[in-house]
Amino acid sequence: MDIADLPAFSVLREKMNFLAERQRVLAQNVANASTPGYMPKDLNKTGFEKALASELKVKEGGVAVARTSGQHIDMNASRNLSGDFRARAAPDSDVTLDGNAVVLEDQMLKVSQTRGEYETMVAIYQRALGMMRTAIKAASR
Amino acid sequence: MADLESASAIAASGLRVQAARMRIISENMANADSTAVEAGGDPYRRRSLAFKSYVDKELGGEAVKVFGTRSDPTPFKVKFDPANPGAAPDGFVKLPNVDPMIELVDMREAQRAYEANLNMIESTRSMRRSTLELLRR
Repeated sequence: MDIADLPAFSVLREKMNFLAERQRVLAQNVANASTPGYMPKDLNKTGFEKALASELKVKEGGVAVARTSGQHIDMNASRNLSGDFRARAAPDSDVTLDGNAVVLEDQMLKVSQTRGEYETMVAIYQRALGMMRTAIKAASR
Repeated sequence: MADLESASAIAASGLRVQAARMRIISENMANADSTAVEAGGDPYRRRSLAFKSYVDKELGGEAVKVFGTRSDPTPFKVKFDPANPGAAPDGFVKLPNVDPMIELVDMREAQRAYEANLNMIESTRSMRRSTLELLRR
């Protein structure tokens, strides 16, 4: 058994991957804050959450579709969450005359959101590890 | 982790571009009164930068770079000043087409964008640090 494959850990890890990817997309937007005609992007969050929900369902003993033929699509094989989110155009509240739709304030808000969520995930991960450690440790005396 | 690293690198490309912009602005400001040396010649012409986003395969994202400077084609201002060495025979001297007001506004914008990129690097670093914290303890 791999500890990283436990539902609690793998879900947290996927979420952290998603947030790191989002941070990269936001960095792209901020770097291009004065490029004429640049359209800011963001990750498709609903797609990620849908994939995460189905992942949770299977991991927690939910019902998965049975494969009775080799030609059926293996749901588990295609469930690579990191590939499921894709950057989409997401214009901010204002477009300048040169066609640039990046609003720094909006981007900064998203950055601090991403950072906060990421740090929450890390804290939960740490807590889960701590619980695991408590379970593993020999009872003292 | 790789995503966080490329986030910092992309923000760094933003910093470089804004710094180059700042340099051009200070060139314009410094030369706001530079007239021609020879009689009737052209004074300093305002310059501006052009940015472009490009896909950096190594970073796996769209970084930004400067792809050239451009001279501002707006006409020069003229002033009657026969004593100036750059004055034409009719006594008029051409002044640079630099408007300090525009340069100041542009400078504020460059400064703001620079700070935003810096903030980006700062929060990416904090995310990376908290990931590394998992290894301790």
